Amino acid sequence: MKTVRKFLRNGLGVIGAVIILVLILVAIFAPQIAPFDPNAQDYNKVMMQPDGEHLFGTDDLGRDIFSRVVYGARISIQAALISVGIAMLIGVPIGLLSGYYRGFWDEWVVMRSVDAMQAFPFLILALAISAVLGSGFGNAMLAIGIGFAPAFIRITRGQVLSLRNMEYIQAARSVGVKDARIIFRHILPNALNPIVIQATLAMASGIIAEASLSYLGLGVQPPTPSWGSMLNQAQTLMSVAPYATFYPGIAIFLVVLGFNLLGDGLQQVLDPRSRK
Amino acid sequence: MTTILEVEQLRTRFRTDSGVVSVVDGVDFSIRAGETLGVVGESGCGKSVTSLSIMRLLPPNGNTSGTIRFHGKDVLGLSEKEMQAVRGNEIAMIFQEPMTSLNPLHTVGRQIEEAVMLHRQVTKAQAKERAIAMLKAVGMPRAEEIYGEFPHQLSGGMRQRVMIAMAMSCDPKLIIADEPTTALDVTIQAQILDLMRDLKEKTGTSIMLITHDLGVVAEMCDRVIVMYAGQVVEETDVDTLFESPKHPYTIGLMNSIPELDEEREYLETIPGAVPLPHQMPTGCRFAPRCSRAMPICNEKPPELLQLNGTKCRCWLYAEEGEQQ
Amino acid sequence: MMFVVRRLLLTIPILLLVSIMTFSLIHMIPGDPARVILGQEATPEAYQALRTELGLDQPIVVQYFSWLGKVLQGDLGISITDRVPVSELIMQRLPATVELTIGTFLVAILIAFPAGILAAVRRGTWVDYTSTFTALGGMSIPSFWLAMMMIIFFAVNNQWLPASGYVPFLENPTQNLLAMILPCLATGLRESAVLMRMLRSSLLDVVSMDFIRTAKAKGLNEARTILGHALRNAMVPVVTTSGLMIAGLLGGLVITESIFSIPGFGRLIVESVFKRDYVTVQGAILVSAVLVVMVNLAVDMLYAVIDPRIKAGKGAGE
Repeated sequence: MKTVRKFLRNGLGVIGAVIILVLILVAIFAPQIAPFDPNAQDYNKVMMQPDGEHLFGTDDLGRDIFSRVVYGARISIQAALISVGIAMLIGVPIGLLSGYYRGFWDEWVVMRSVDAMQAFPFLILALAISAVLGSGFGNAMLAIGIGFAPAFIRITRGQVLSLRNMEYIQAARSVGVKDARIIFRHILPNALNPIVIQATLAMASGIIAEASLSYLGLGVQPPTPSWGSMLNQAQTLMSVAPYATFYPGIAIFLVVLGFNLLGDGLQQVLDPRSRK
Repeated sequence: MTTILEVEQLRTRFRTDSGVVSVVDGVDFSIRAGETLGVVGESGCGKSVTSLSIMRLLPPNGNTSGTIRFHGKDVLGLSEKEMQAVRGNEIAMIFQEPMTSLNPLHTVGRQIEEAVMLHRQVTKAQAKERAIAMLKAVGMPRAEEIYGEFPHQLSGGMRQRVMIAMAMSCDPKLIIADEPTTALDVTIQAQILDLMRDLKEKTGTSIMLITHDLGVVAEMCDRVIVMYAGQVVEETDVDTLFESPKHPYTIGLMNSIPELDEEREYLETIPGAVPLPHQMPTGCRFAPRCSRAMPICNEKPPELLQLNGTKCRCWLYAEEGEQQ
Repeated sequence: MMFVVRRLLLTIPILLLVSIMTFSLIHMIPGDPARVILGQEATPEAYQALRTELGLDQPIVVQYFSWLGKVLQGDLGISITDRVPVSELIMQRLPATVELTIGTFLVAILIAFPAGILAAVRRGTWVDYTSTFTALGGMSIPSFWLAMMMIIFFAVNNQWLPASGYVPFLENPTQNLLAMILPCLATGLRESAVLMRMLRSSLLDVVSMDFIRTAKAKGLNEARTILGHALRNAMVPVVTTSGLMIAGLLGGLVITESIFSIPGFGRLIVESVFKRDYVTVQGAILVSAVLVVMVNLAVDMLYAVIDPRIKAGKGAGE
């Protein structure tokens, strides 16, 4: 409760949480909020300036940009959750085991592989994985998730290394508590804070990464409305319909800002070493 | 002897999350030219904050009131720029932790030179000469080489000598030494104290020596103030202090010094701890820990009484004080 | 010296793993790589020829070592679609990306240093809050969208700066630099936000240290204390971030290059991905990873220059 109250006093963090909450609500209630079918084309209303009927205007196929931005929230929130979920599913267990058992596997296999993985620039790694697996939302998520995994291995392992020598862990070991129980009951709960912070900040990067891949044409495929692919399509119309590039970008910005603010706020509340 | 530093009713408060706390609460004392004044007390009693208040080096949430007069100058009334001309020049400071008080990325020589060049109109070459001379003066072997070395290449004692060389480099009138030997080994402590005494005799500078160690006081000081919970509880010359300590707190401190010629089973310690600034007792601040506390001690805070050559803040001496 | 040697030796296993990962790329293609590359309609002769060219008819360990042997001699294979050596394609594309990286980095430090120092010195004031919040905002702007907004404002609505038209620097320096302004700003602004936050927090760590108090006790003013004593001590994490940033940029400029039609290294990868030119993709990502390893190596060497304790084999934390 104390943590919650401390967090609520962190103004920016709360703003972040509110932004994300709004995003989730918009994603859930997209059909109720959107005035038009996001994919309905209307050739009589192509590239209309924003007005009372089409709040954000229409695109080159006469689709309502507002409705597409609203539906795009669904892709965005999925991108954040799935990519980071995959990264944690890979990274946290490996980090736990590697840090707990240490030795040759940890030092020479896991950590050097992490080094090697992190040598590939993130987007290039994602591109290469997409190249192999093919384009599409699922593969983009896998590519981003794999790209994020090394960071989670590192952070989890670092936590385990500092926790495994604590008295209470040593004590548990000396009385013969099983390794699995020590790892999941004693180490993981105490290692969770930095992982949660990292996850929140990674969601911000995940949204940008998904938008980037979709922008390049490797993520979500048309006609599914995603903010990245909307920007891709709007780019060719920049000189005639600049508003078409404006709203999807603002949407990405706000959501990413939300996750960054939340992550920052959590860091100040959960991480005792962080500064004011 | 002329008085060079006069502190009156010094109060230092800090703004914190749990409100404003008063760490130094109405402290008076003075230092005469060429004198060494000891400031004694347990940690947390406001000694270091007193010294940082004089230097005006408190963190931004600190605030000082009262009067600090140094050589006729009203220290608290100086502009920041005027204060910078005082720091390191007229008042220099030596800190407790020689391991962390030097910049790890600059050579020793550069750190001494910096002060010289800041306060004296000298060329780089002259400043270097001065730095090497200072290193020699603090008893450094191979001063020319050490001039170009980094702090991590030196031992703790050597680093503290560097700190002293730095502090002395502009011939300050007052040196504030905040627990200068606490972080050092016993044998090194003695060497550093000897060095400080020698330098003081040669230069005639005054020293304000902050310590929790009465052994250091006996060896170094002319006069002593004992501080407790942000206040001065006893002030006297060093001989009187050891011959007839007045305040129960001072007596308690005395009894907790291990003595070689006495075979005591247990080292006496004062029970309890210094009260936290925001939960000060209403009466005498020492009363909760005092073995001689009387009913009045818990009700009314005692004044600093003028006794025979001693000042003492204790109800035990109330009558004696009135007679004086 | 020991530090340098140890650090160099440590890169060997990393480079080996990088090469294995890159090599595996073609083999991770679901199904038969040659079939996937050529499509179902390819003649059996063409199919067989590609298998031989890629060495797919040999045992995988043999394939790896013969590939590694060639790579070590600078032979990254022949592009499947363009039929020119991949190394040549990469060399053509690298200069533009390197230029973009340098420009972006310049923009980033020119903004981050004054802002970061100011925020740290004026901590807790509106200057600090404004710059910290702006930085958080800056970090959240997708750089490709910022690029588009800049194009709309600077190139479409006002014809102040070109949005495309890259020419090599040696061909026409003025036009080259003009065409680089918007791309460098668009990516540099975001990076400056990251760097500024790092610098601020690192400086705040340092200014609470004992030797800063010593510097002030000497009579130094705020500016000389920060610039002369705090800044260099705050540089280690900043150099780390800068290294990561440069490393990331070398490959991560993919999108900036696409938007501003700059024929850079990142674009080569995107184009090759779409053309299913796996040999070029493979060569390019290998080069990008090796560049990153080199930048990281350079960063570690820089630590030793900044901090004399590292050369002596002691950690900076001691």
